[in-house]
Amino acid sequence: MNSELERILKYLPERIRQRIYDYCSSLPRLGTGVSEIRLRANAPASLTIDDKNICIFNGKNLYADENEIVSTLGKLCEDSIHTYAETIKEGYVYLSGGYRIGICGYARSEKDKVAGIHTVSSLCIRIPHAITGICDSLLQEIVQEGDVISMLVYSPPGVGKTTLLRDVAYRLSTGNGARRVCIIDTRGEIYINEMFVEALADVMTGYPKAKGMEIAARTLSPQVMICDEIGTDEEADAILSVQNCGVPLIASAHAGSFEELMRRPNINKLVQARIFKKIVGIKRVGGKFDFDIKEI
Amino acid sequence: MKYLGAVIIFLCACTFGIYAGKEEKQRLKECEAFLTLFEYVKNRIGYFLTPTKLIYRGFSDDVLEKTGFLAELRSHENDDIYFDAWESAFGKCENRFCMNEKEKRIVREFGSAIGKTDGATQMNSFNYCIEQMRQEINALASAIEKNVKIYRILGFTVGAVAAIIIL
Repeated sequence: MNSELERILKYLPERIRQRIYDYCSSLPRLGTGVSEIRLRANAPASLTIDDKNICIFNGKNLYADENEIVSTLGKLCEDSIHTYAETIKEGYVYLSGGYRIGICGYARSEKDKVAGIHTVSSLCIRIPHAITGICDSLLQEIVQEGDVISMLVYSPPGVGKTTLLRDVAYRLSTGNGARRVCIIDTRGEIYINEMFVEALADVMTGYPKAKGMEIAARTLSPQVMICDEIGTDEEADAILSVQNCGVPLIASAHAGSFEELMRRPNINKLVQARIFKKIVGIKRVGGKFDFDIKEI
Repeated sequence: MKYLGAVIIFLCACTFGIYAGKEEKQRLKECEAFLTLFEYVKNRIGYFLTPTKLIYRGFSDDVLEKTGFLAELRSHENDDIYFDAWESAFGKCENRFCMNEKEKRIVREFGSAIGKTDGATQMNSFNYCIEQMRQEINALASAIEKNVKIYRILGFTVGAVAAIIIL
């Protein structure tokens, strides 16, 4: 079984852990394709394996109760809900090693803001994949005559944008001609300590993206910036400002197609401003990445 | 032989009286040490939002060090999964404390609130436990001199009476 999956299983209640472990052990690839584990209070737990949702484990559905969900969240937060309170309001917590845990439940709202979540009903645990070598063909598009160009990568959720960005960050920051890469890792998903041991990467974990980009450009003198899932007004403004400082940006955004991407006002604004030299749609075909590259 | 027995019983009773008085003083020290720890934890969480497992690194107190409670708490820092360290540490050291059941319950209650909710909710639980412990300390401190004397006199009296009966 892969080590990323094995590590996260330790946080789950014994009963659920054992069922998932037994199920994954019985699979031909021993659970290497597992990208998500979802626990729902009094509803079926599920795994996402190679883009398929599985909720029957060895012939039976698996149910978690509210207490199990709460204790799992407590363990994932290392008994420090206070430290994660702000990100919990934003709907997630992150674990070192690139794990992101999406949280939903009953929120107490004040005007248009979430003031707190009083009952957690679902946890969505995303399992990172520290894979290198998947961006080889894309790297030739990113580095042109020794210079890195700005690029936007898009796909629907769960296709592998973060895995791809992680590999791009790794490749650009290691080896001959390694560059100073600054990773704006708001949700702690991109950076995996073990993978970047020899990399010239500076990681800003937990910073809001716009603020992170601003600080990075001002104080870290990066040669490349990497940022996952952009799209808000503040992020667009920060990118416009940073791009005028001459730091290339490799970023990602959610979209099912190029047309959908262009319908997102802030992305459209960035494309109109010619921030990105190339826009790349990604697809998974039989476990491999397929790139649809558009020059702007 | 009779005289020897009477002397031994008298000395045992007196020693027991003195020991009971010392335990009472130790109990007060433990309550005060926990109150200091409570305030420290409250500060670390309320102002700095420090992750729970890093809170205890910066705290030291002779009374709690001697019982092994702080070392036990810190030993969980490298756990694969950090959860309910306070309860586990206190469970292991509980018998080394002189505190009574009510005081131990306050300590447990404080520990069960750490890290389980957002900062503001934890502060309410902490303040409640701190107030409870403060009341215990006040009651104990105001009666301690009297209680220590009572235990000593009681030990002496019981020992003397037993010795007289034997003789």
